[in-house]
Amino acid sequence: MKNNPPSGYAGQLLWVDLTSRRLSQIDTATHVPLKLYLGGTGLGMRILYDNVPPKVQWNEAQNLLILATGPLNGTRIAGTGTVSIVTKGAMTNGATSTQASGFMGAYLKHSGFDAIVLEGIADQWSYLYLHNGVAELRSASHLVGKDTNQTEESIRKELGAKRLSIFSIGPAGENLVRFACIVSGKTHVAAHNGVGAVMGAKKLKAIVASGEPVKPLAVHDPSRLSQLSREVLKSTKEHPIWGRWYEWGTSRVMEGYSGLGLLPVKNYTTNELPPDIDKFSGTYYRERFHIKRNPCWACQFHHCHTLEVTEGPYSGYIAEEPEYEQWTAWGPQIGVFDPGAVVVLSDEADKLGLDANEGSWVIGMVMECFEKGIITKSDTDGLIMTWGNIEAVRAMLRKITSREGIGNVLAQGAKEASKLMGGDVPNMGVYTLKGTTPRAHDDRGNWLWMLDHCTSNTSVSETLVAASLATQGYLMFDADPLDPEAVPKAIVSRKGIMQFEDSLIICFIAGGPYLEPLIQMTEAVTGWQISIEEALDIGLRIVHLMKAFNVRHGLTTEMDFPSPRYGSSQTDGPLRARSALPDWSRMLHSYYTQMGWDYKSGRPLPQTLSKFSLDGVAKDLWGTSSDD
Amino acid sequence: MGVKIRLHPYLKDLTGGRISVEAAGQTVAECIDNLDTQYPGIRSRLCDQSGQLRSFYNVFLDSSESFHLLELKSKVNDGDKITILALISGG
Repeated sequence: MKNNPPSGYAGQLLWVDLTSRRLSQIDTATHVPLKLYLGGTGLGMRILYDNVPPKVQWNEAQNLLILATGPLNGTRIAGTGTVSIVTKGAMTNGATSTQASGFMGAYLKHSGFDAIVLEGIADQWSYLYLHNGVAELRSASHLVGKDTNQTEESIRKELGAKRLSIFSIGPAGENLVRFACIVSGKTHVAAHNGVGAVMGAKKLKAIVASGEPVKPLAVHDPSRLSQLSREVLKSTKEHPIWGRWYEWGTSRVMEGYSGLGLLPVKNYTTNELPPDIDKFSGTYYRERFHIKRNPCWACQFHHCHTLEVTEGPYSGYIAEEPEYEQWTAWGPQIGVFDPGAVVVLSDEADKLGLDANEGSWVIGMVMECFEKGIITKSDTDGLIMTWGNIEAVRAMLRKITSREGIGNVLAQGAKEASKLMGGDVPNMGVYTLKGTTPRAHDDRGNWLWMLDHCTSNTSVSETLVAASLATQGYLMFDADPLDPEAVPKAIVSRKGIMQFEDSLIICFIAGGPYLEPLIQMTEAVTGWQISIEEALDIGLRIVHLMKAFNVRHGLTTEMDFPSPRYGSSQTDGPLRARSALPDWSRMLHSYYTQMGWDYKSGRPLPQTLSKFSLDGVAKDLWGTSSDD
Repeated sequence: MGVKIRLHPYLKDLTGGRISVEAAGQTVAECIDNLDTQYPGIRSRLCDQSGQLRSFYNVFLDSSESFHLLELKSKVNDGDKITILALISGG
């Protein structure tokens, strides 16, 4: 296999034991059956399941941190610079699959590796450098304390190479802030479930891959691949959602959320918005702030930009353009309504290495507590944590990063911090009982997202951030988002697509609106024949495997609930959606039944697992498979 | 027989819970105007102050197999089926 891997694969994994500093190159296909798992999230999840037993904690040596590519990475298809990171995460102590775009997905493959598997804990801060088919662990003692921008600049200067993709943690990851993230290129973030904390626990400061190809990437049918790429671009431009992403990135997403009453404002305490909320739309700020394209590997979308703030107190500030999640998280969610300020807060969080979603929900909870007198200046070391106080937020983010004072409590994330703060605070936090926070939405008006977030095995959406079947057309948007019968049915109908995409792996924005061309692209690269059913089976196999992992690692059905505030009713705004909580058990039960899972124990049923060639997993969970 | 319209569920508070309604008109815009006479407030929910369809609402000629997007000025005929959906996404 090493000498003749399937087209689309480098042929080897890099297995790094940070404790012994031993680096091994392992044949990919003999380690994981590629036709069943493809790569990316699938590859990573199979390795995680097979090698991280129950009772291993997220910060222990035996936990694995896996960066994985799939067969599309490194081709000239837009979106194939994305990489999937799989580990046991710091927030839930369960499975995580989170993606970051940019160049790592391509450069890792070009360096000669399908994936990196990191185990152990280094005895000194280190960084990993991959180039020309070899890997080396280098000292990172000079990088400790540097933010993610500074880390990248230092490494680039040190190595002198031109084409590098650098994933690094900031001081938040070094200090094991539970919602620390991994950042690349100042803007691409592997955000969820504390993957930055896992990396920090391993004393790994950065992972660097050279983009100088070891050898040309083998593609089975290059002309077919090019033709499919042109067809995907055409269908993308014609689609009402993807077409808007092509022209505007996520800069106009807030229009829908604010217009429909789905924008989270001040920790879900209101849905009323100021009249100039339109300043957060790309139609406003892209006309006024100076923007410069900063695309990912092979991407033609008008999505990622560097921008310069040109108005307000932060005029002159230069940073990467925030995504919708950041515009909302550091904007209305914490009572900030100045777009320049959001650019600053988004940039600061990225440099410190803090997840915007979790960080924003934590700050919002603190602000509400401050408003209600539950905490005071004496608790916050003098910081006036009123809604929209930007400088106080900046200072508090630094406190969380350094775990100083109340920052040490808040570094645990919204759920755990609320428990530590006590009183009524656990009822005020927006979080899932699994231990993470949702994305920057008011899901009280859209139970599709709430069910997806709460039941996700990855800690955040595992269903809705994906293409759809072309045969479904627009019907994927047709489900009544507040109907307890329709919601679980709609979620289950789309299950598996996201995991298939995350195994190719391709950015779901650049990948276009439909699943079928992605399957055809995979065929064009590998030469394999894959039916739609087989593609969905690959995705569902990964979902059931993640669920099995989480059940074995102690995550229960009861954790698939929203917090009281997350599941509450809206009291004002255009929608005034009712609470999901009275219907939640019924929806969850319906979801589990349709997924083929046992509600009481949370375990996928033996016949469900057997259908997806997971008989060994069935024996782990049930002591028997469906054939016994 | 008018134009059959299937509404996004977010609009059903204006229609007494109904998502399948009917309207008269020769264009999408006329149908929305006619709907507004039946269910006051629906036009301002769908269209902004300049009369343009809000960016997050889309109108389709009913076909489950493809997107056939319509504009406000698009012509419709009696017996046509159109769907008005709110298309939102994160990111």
